Amino acid sequence: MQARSVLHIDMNAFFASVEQRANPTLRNKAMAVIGSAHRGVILSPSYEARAFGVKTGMTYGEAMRACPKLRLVPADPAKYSHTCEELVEIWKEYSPLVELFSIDEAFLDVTGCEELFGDSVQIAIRIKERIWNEKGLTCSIGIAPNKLLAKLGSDMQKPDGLVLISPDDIDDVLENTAVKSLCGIGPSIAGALAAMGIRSCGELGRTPVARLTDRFGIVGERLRDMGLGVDRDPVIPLQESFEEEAKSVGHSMTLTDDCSDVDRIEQHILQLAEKIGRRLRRGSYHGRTVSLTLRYTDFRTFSRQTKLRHAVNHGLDIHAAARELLHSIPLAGPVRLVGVSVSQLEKNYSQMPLFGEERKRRFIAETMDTINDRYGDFTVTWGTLVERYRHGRVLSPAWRPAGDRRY
Amino acid sequence: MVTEIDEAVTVAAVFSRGSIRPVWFDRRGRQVRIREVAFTWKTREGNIPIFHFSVSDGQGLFELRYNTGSCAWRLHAGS
Repeated sequence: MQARSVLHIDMNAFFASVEQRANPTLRNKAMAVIGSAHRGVILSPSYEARAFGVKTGMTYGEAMRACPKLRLVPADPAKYSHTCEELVEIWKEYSPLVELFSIDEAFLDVTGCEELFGDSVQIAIRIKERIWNEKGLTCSIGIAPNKLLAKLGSDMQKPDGLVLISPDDIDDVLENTAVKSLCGIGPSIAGALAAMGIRSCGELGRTPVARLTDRFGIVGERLRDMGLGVDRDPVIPLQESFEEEAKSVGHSMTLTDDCSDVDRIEQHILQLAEKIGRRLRRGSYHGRTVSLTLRYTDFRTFSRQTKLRHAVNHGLDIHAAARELLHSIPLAGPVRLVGVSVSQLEKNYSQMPLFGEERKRRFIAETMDTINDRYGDFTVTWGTLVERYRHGRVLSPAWRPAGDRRY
Repeated sequence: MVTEIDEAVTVAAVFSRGSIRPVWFDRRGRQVRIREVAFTWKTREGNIPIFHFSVSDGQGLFELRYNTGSCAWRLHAGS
């Protein structure tokens, strides 16, 4: 059987690189994309900033101490999502099997595409050239017989790398590779493995499965496979991921100023509930569980949920449930983030409204949706939201270029 | 420093083979010739596509927006 050829494409410092393309004065400069102009953390430092030790997740203060001349640019998610959509169009020209792993990473299964475009290395070179010529961006590509090793390969050479791990090289490559370099082995598993005396993939692959399952349960077998460089997961084409049913729909907002005013928090909750309601209705979902998340200024995070008797998808119902949760607890301090989500979703749930008031409410929601679809979100909304909080759009890690996760 | 401007502007642009390339725009009686279209991206207002152009005249950076619904250009930001 022909070995699979999987490419993992990782766009280098994606958000920062897009901003450097969009603003020539930022090119070759130490700069970083940040969550908001007022507060938050470093989302994406340029390679020039990384040379000074600036890292993703640093606070502004930490980053400025590491690099006093650092230029900070607020994130513009519309640029990144549009660029991602254009990249996907390029990738799809080389294989129908494109899996978007995140907004700046993708897997391509190019097995069988060699007749059209040359071998996997030639395909990778073509893709890198296209991305550079058409978007002015660089990427690192790993090529291997599976996703696990392709991802490892792309991480081995940054920026602008190209690494091939052929079936014959796997043992040599893995022998001294740290287990924490494998996608899926985070700090806690790496720590537990280190406590067992296992630090490299070579050591992991030689560890008896029974020893690993004793410590990690069923995950032990998977860990042993990872140590051997075995990964049977297919590349899931985009279309299938679009059609995957959602498990929850949620939104959150980090506030510009800390807030202790319950009325204002309620207003934020209504705004979030309206957005969630629109997304639920767009995907023909109803949900039974409503969750409220509050993050205080000291980053303590409170989350509570309530289960409703009937599945809902109207913003006012979601708001009422989240509001009740808000009033069920005393605020422990000023709030910096408010989040609402709806889970236990049911697709195409249908309950005919029995009463006139309910029918009117559904009709109004449908009419508002039609107008807002045509003219933009919140063109028609509740009076309380006329003076709503206008925060920038935030891309969730689950964002996809089409389907329910687009919004 | 890029600041928000958001004013209607007259723009000369080449529409060719599905792409749009702004060439110059008129700002307060002065013609600003575009040296570089650094980046383009697209958003939507409702179902109307809006094209964004990050452009430079060699001295300053500007963001032009073209609303395909109203066929109108706006100078959104400049430095």
